[in-house]
Amino acid sequence: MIASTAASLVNLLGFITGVVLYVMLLWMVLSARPESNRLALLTGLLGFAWNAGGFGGYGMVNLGFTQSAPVLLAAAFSSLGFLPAVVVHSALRTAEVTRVQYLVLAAIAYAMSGIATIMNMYTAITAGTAPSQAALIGLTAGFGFLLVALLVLTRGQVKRGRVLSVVAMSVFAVSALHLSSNHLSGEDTWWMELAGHHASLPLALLILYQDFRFALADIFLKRALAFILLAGLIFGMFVFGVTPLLAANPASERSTAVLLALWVSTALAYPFLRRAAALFVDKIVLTRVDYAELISTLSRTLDRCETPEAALDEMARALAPALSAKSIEWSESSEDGPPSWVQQDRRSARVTVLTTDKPHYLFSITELSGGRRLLSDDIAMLEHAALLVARRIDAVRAMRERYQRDIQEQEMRKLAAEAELRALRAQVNPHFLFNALTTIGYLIQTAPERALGTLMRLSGLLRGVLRASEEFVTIGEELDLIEAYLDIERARFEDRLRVYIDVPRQLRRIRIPALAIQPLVENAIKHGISESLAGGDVRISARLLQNELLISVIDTGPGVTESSLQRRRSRGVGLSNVEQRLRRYSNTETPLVIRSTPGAGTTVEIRLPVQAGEIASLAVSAKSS
Amino acid sequence: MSRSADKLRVVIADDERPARSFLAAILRTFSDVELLGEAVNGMEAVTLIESKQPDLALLDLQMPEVDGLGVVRLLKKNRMPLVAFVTAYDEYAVRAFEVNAVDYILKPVEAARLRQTIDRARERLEREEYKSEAVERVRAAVSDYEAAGGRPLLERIPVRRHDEIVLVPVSQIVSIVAEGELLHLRTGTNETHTISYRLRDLAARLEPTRFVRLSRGAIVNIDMIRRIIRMPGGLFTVVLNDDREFPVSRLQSRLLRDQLLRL
Repeated sequence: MIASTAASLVNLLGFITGVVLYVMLLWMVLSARPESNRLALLTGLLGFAWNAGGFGGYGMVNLGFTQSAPVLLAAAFSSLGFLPAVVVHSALRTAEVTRVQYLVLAAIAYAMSGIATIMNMYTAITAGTAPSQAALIGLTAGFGFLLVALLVLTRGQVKRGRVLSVVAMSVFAVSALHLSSNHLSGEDTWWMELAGHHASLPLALLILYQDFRFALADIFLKRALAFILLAGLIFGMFVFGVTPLLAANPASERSTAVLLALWVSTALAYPFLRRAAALFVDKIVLTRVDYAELISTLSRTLDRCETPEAALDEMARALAPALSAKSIEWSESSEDGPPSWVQQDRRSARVTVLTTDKPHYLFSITELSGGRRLLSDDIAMLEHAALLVARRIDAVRAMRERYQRDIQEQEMRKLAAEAELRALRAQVNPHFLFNALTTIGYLIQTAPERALGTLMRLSGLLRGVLRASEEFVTIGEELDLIEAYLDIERARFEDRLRVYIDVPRQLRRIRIPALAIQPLVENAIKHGISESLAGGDVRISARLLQNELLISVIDTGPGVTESSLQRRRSRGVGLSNVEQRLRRYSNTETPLVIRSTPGAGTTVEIRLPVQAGEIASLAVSAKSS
Repeated sequence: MSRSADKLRVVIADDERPARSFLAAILRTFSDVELLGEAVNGMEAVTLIESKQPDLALLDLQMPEVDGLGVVRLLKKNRMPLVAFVTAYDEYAVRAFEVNAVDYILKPVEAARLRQTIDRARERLEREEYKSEAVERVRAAVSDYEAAGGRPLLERIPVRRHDEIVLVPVSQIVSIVAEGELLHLRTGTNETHTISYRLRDLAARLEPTRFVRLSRGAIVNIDMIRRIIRMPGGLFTVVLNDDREFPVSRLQSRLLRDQLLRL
């Protein structure tokens, strides 16, 4: 009784598992490519028919729902009988055999299955029993022979092992039926039931493992394994725990408590089993790399990538072996981001790296080996990796942008400084220049020696101004330039112009922005001297006040009123250029101050910061000199 | 007017001796030119021109106090010779001269270019009708140049008193009243001077915070206004410190109300 109960449990669990397995196989085959794989479809169908039939024929009987139905059983056994034929057929397709061998062997296989079916049906209808023992023997013997034939035909071929193992498994499924041949007596042991009626389960698993290794393992194998393990656990408990317990101590409170505890622990075991199954599938069945580690390695590598291209290459290099893809290539994509990061079809996948700014990048993962499809955790990993790369590229781009902006700003500053210098040159130029040339013209007629001297001064001045591409010069150099300028203006204005320069020698080494003083002197001469009938004085002086340098240019010209000065300055002529440059250099708003009194003259002062180091070196040079 | 052997009678004015001498030296090489004199500033130039009455005056554009344009303004209309300006570099001026067909020479002066000016002056002198026209042209050029904004505000206005030229500081001017082509300036010491200027042009060269226009024909110094009387019809009358009254035009009344009479 107990044995029979155990056998019934095995039957129930076995047929349900079988139905689930073959439904999944069917579904996989259908969703893969049903048109080109009719044999796989047929395999699934037959396996499903066997398990469904078996469930109907045995399981329901065991559960006590219906009486035994010989025709249904016969149909189920016939399905099982065709299974090896289909398997042999598909094995022949894969194996390298001649056309004749192929046709002959396939015909024999189908003929044997057909004969077995007829025999099963005949027995069921005439004798009311199924299956026909003769049919089973015939199938076992016939397919055993075919297996040997295949073994001989395919020796030395690459796919031989795979083909033969499938055929062997299907033959085993049929032949194992003998073991439970007297099952109807109901006296079979549970292990005999398992081996006899459920030998088709390994076949399904084998086919799945070989043909749909990656595609199905994800959604199927982990759950199926967990389910099988759970089923095994339940069954083990029943056989080794519950049965002895109930036999020794039926219906006691202690037994109920133990049963309850077992039931609870079974339920609690499921998550663990699921994890264990997942681990087993990943590590052993799929031999997949550890994605968590892959991601952390990738993120470490990405940190060292300085360009988007390097980051993308790194990602491709890391992913190709992990996904067992033949090639992973990336390209720029200016399209808007797709709805999901990962899109896949049967044999390839496209992963979009959605960076903040365009262009995005597109990874094409092509030719996944082993008919592999991307599983949910592959996709999760791809998304994670794509996200990592996208963030890295964003960072790299931002960094680059900032760097470029810095460069650009520097460039602009340099250009602005150059432009200002150019503008200054232009301001020095026309009026002064033509007047200077006129002066020289006059001197040529009256004092050729002086004309030559003035000409040399003028060319020296022009060279000095035009060469002022460096932003900084020493005060001494600036004064040399001013002296050249003054020489020319003296020749022009003669005794109307009197210049006094009061700059201590040690200050002449301080570096200041080029052309900071000369425009002030030119301005003083333009407004102070040339607009005065009697001419006037121009005083240039420099003083060191704590940490700043005060340079003043004073003229005794006619001077201007405050509003006239405002008007003149608002027009931006003359000193505004100098003021702007100095403002940036000294970081004060008013580096240049103009004071003017009508009738008394004008004073222009500039203040420049002096570095502490420069003051110290001045002190030293003052002592030593 | 005695012309010695048909020579063109020329005066020059430049405050910079080298430039002046350079110009004079070239002129002396022209046999058909008689250099009557050299002025070292604008005021001297006016005196020189009026005493010598030359055919052509070569005036430096940039001179202290009274520049080349100032000389033209100060000259009596019937004493105006042909004028050519000399300048080192002044875009605004050059444009104004070109537009009005007024002759100009750039420094350093080239002998051949100066020759053209002399020849052109000769041609023009032969046509009497051109002479009067030339005066207008020069004045128009001066106006254009000032309107172009190339010139700073006036600090002192050169005026003629008898045969001399006086510089009147603008701060001393109480009122400026137009009469035809002339302007009458009245000072705080109750002197009056007459200059040849358009009121509009002069107004553009006065500090707007210090002078206010009352009508088409009058500008007064704001500091010299004693009171402002409201008249019927929203008009005003301005009373100055010297008790003279100035009616304010309708347009200026409105401006006055908006600008001056608001706290």
